[in-house]
Amino acid sequence: MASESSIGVATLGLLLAACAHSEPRFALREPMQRDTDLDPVYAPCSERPTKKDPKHVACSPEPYVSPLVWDGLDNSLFRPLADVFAVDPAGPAVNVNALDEVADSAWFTNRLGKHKPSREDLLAGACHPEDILDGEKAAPGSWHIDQGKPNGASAGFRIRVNGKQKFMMKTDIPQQPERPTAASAIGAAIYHAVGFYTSCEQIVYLDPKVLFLEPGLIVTDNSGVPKPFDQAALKKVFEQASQRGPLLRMQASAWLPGSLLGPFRYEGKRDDDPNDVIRHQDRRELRGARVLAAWIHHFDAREQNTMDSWIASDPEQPDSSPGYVRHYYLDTSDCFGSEWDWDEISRRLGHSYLLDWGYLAGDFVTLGLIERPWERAQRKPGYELFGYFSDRDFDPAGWKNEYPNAAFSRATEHDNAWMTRILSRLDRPDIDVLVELGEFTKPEHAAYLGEVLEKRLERITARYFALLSPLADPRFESPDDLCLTDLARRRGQWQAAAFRYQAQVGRAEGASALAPSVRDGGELCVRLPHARLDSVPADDRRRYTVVLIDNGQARYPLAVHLYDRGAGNGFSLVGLERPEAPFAEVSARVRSELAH
Amino acid sequence: MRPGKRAPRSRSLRPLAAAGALALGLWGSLAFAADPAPAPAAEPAATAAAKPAPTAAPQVRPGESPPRALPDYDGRPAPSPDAGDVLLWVPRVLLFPLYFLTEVVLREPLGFLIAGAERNGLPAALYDFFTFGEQHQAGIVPTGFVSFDFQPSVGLYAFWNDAFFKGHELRLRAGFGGRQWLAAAFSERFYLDAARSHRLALEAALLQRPDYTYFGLGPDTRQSDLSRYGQNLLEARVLYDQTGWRSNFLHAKVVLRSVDFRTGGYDGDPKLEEQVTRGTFPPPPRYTSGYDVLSTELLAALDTREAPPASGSGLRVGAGAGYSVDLQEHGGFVRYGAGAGAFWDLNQRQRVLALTATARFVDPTGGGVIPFTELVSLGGTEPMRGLYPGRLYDRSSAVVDLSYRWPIWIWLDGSIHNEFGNVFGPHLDGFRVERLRWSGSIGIESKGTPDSQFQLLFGLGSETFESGGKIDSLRIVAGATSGF
Repeated sequence: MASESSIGVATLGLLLAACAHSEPRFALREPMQRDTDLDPVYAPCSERPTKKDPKHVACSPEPYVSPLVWDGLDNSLFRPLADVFAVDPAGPAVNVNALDEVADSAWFTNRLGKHKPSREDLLAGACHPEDILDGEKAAPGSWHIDQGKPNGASAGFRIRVNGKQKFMMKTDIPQQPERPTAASAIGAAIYHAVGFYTSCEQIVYLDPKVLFLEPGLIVTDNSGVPKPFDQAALKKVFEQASQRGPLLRMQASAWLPGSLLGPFRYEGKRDDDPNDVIRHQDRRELRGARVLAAWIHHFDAREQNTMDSWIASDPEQPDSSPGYVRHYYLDTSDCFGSEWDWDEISRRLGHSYLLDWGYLAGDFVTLGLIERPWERAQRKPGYELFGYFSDRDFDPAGWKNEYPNAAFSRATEHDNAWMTRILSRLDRPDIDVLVELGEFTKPEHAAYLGEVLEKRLERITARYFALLSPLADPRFESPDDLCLTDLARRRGQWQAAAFRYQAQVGRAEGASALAPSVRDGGELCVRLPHARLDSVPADDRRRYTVVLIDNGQARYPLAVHLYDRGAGNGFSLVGLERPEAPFAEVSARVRSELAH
Repeated sequence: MRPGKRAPRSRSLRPLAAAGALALGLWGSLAFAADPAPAPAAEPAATAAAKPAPTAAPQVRPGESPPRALPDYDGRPAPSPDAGDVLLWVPRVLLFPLYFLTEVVLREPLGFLIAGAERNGLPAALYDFFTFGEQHQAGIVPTGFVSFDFQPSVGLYAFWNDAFFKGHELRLRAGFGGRQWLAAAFSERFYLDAARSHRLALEAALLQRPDYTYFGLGPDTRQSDLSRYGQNLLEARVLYDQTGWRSNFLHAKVVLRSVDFRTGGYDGDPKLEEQVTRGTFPPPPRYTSGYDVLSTELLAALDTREAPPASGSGLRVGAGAGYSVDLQEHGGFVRYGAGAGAFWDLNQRQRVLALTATARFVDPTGGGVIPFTELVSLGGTEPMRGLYPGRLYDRSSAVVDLSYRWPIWIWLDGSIHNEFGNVFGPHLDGFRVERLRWSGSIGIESKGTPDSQFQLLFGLGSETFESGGKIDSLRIVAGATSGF
């Protein structure tokens, strides 16, 4: 039997080995802007009979049916329990590029984070001009109802429109008129603006005469019972819809392109998608989506409100290979204050999970002496359609959706800060433009929603710009002038005078201070000196340069990594870091690393 | 969307495999190492700091693309593990058995079964089978009840609201706890007004159990005098309930009850007959003969508390009286009692501190002998809940309860009770403060309808203070209790 000391020696050896490490340098290359999962691949083929073709063979991933009950049960109980014993704490997200951003991929496209969208861009969302419906001017009977809406909280049906495509039409719920349809349109536009793939959502006011109900339709309701979808059923749908004069208000969701594969999971990978090689819970965009969901109170962010679609290279054969899977976010109709039938649940949404073991145990042990935020929740008189949605007691870091989500649970400070940087680019006028998509009848409802969204965004930026550096958008305006945007100052997070910038450039031979030049709009620049590097290879470590910049408000600085190309040739931007350490400590570490 | 197969997803088994490999490696080094060589390090799993290692080339069929290579997103080699990463392996290995249990033994099979059932439409079919009526206002729910030192039971609770017309409800409860343990109860209710403030109910109940407890009569009985007996109860009831302003209520009932006793037993405890033979206590009144009674009862309470979410503060005063006619022998008995309580909601959010006091009495009439199970009792679902059901029997009781109740979840409250009380002779004969006992309990109770309440309770009870006040009773209860 080995002595006890052998175990101690083994552990010490491993620890010593672990301690002897240094931060690796960024390679001399362009930061990755496009992920390879957008490249078409060949998926396994299998027989998938259809009504029209009993011998149909599809060469796309297998459709996935999400189990509603198991998803809730697993994420509320079994997965968190297993995760505790797995001792697998969340580390950095896997798909982060050298600039601490994500590349364009089958999950995300950099939009708001790269370019300020125009008013038209914001209003269009994921809709193309040919997707836009006009329910007032459409010819009578030109919208064919070919299917009832099979399940879900709100009533509806599917239509085919001549010259356009299919749309799922949904109504509001009588308890909160206009909110669900508005939330769908605004929420989808926000997700699209941020960079996610979403469906085209729009609010349509229609004259019932434009609809033509195909005879003999059958629909299966929530409990699995098939029922006829006839004039009587259609009338029930109309009764739920809000109205503006004789026109019914409905929400139209355009059919997604491609061959639908069912939802994506927030955990694991899809084994039959050759492009899916990163555990979803370790993808930055899925983790960072927690902050976006918190902002607009999308508590129903679960796998059933997502969709995968196989985008075949041959659009005539949508389930053929080659192709790739595109991942969509769907159904934001719960945003801005949806409520459950039980008031006790509605109050808790956003503050705790439906079954929140932490609060349950904590409240039991503390004898309920801690007042919880849902106990203070109030509806605003005159704005009951927004339920308990407000900025009061909004805690961006503590916000929770209905039940735990594997990706949200693993969101790190960096992931949350990434999404915050994106959202911070929306100014109040942009928010008001997005709210226009809700087409609220009462202007005060639109004003209230805009105000609450603005205040919630302020809370988010106050929280996530206080630690990691909010400096972003590194670029060279001249070969030697490195410029950045301080997103916190751009948004007026703190008084302008409160920002105190300090900068330093570090190289193998030493470090020296820089004098940042501050401009309006959150912009700042530093002029970088060159080292004497004649006839030194381009990727030599002596060319490696690290610029540290601190804005005096965030606790930690930004580190920009460059290669010095020499006087007259400027610098190559190769990396950007947001270390979680104070300026002085990072400076000392950089000097030590560059010296070796 | 066409129904698809089970999700072709990949849950990472690498922590599992790596932990297992390391555990085996460490075990190997412990058992066989002749020299103090370090344990073989397993391949690091997809830990926080490490970049995911390239996967081994899978088998690829012709025409399928292999999994794409993981891009080098940031152009930097993966950082070496730091001390934290290394130390994480210690809890990982130690907790590996629990991880295996929760992930492989519980989660994976349950996921396969439940998700598979959902994909095949089984929940909808079960929902339709177990709930019926156009609005699905009826259903069947499984129940269970476990009480320390009593036979556990499982059962079903069925409900049907607006059964044959609006305001008409049916309830059925059935339970089974093994041999000689059977319970069934049926209730038909009629709400006489739209506000549901007047209710008439017709009920019938059957209860057979072998594990009832008896400790003798009077205030000085001891836990060590525990004995078991069996009882068969058959009951028919007509009840009228009326609620009014705030939490005021009026309750009236007429009950026809038939009770037989028999030899019981549980877990090797002495039978009641054996304790009698030993002279521990005399035979309980009417034990050998059983009894049939026709009882009437009227309870009323003035209660100023409002329903949640309003404040839980208020006052309550209640009184009740009832008369029972012994259908087998002459005479009968009269019951009466009163109670008062003060409730203070500490922060107007249902954290309620309460002080209540109750006194109950039963007196024979016409020379009758009161069956022991019709005496005033404490313990179990009666006051002094830290004591066994049927722990104390006598002609009167007095109990003071200092309690605290607070919300812990949407449908659950926590509760703490500190009760001081005991049973006494007629009209509190023999009452002395030193003869009181203590009962304490802490637990979780469901809110809502009393028809089927969930309860998780841990309770303790003591001897009389005169005897030393030693804690001699433990009660642990979990499950659904019946309100009818």
